[in-house]
Amino acid sequence: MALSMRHIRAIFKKECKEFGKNPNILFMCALPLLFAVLYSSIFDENFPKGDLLTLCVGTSLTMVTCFVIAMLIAEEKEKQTLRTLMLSAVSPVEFFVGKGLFTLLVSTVLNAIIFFLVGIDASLYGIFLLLTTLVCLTMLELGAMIGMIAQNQMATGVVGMPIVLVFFMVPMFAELNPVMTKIAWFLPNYHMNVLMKQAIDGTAFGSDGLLRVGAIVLWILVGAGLFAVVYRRNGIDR
Amino acid sequence: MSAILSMQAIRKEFKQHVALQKVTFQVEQGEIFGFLGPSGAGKTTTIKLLTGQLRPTSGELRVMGESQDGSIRKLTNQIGLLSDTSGVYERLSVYDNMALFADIHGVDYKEIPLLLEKVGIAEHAKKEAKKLSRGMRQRLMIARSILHKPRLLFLDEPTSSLDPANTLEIHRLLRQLNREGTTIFLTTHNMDEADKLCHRVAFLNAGEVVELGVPAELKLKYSDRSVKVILEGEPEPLYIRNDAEGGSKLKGWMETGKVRAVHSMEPNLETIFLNLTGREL
Repeated sequence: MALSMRHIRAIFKKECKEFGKNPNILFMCALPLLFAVLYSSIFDENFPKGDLLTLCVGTSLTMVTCFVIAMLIAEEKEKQTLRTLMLSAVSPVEFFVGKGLFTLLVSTVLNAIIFFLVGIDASLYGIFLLLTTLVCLTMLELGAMIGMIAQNQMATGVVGMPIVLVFFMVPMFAELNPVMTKIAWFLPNYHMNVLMKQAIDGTAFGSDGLLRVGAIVLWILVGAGLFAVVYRRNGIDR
Repeated sequence: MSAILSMQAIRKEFKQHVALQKVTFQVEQGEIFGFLGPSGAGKTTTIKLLTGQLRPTSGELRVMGESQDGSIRKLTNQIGLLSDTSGVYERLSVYDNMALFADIHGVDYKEIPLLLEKVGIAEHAKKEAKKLSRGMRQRLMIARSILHKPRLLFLDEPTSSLDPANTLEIHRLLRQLNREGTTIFLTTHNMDEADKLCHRVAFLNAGEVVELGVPAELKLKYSDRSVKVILEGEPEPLYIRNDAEGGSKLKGWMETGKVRAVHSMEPNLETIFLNLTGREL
């Protein structure tokens, strides 16, 4: 299967042109930034920066990375532009890659702004970028699945919110009780949170660091498999 | 002329529903071919089969020599499609909508203003697509579907929701495209449109092609060979058979100068369809 860079670039470029004109997407993108500004101002200096960062990045990963791609896909179906694209030689893979790259770029920029708004040491940005990019990939897969299942933008909320809440809430409360911790072990962003906090605390990666990175990578692979199953069952535009 | 697309005994089933059965026809290169029928007759299914969106249950179809085994999708650069479910990117300007598809097809941006001029929306190039009237939007979609200069253009009900003035403009544009070499496959339930535009038409009813031919020839074929005569001093027109007896009557009236008008009485396509199927469009 040959991928056309021209097609991917066209989809990416179109998303960039529409970005500033799409109130739904702009609102989703504003949420984590608002939270970052709000939390930074209401929590005092004793509040752990690692917790503040993971809270805001958790919002960004779920509300932006996952939901934006879901909404972009669902909107194409809703406005009947997806079929036109598919009949213009754009393959489903090119379509997903174009949308995914745009969403990844938006997420990366937002995460970087959050990183510096919270006031984390800039020397940790490399590890932060690596971890958030890996988790972004899992969220993109999840969001693309939601977008394929939902028939329109409204439905992305119905289909996606329960899933996204699990990914957002469980890691947030993972340290409150052992059951939550066990559930959180199955979520990629929980491992990102733990690893980032370890990096901020200066404990570097703990002994289980490799295992946690492995869990995130496994999520990417499982997500790709699930994506393929949903694509085969649902198709992109049925 | 050679066939640019053909269907041979095509059958398409959706679970319990048979959408098409034994559909056979071919479209010659350079013609405007009308595929006519009421809603639910199978017109859109036919276009979906011909554009590789669906595969037939049985039968053989070919488009530009490619068969239905998935290779039709390779022809996307030679095919244009405007369906009733086509959409535009409403937040993008008319120009940007065109630019997206120019990027996809690898068409030079210089072509865009020329094409917008051709379809009559050049002055709206900077306008957001959501602010266009229905007629303008339809022209944008036509411009988009011919941007890459397709050899074959599929139009699914292209004027179904347009007012008469916009419909006439679209017809003018389609004739121009056809003169420039584009083969057009048009589905419509508007028989008048088909009569004006198409070189040949096929009538589709309940998934079957019930008649196929040149509109003028079909009208002669289904004519009841009567002639309407309006005579001086007669309040109602008279109908005479187009035969020896009718001819001598007409000759007599003409010799006495009583004939005000003579009309041949070929049925229109709508009447032919009604006679063939018992269904109105």
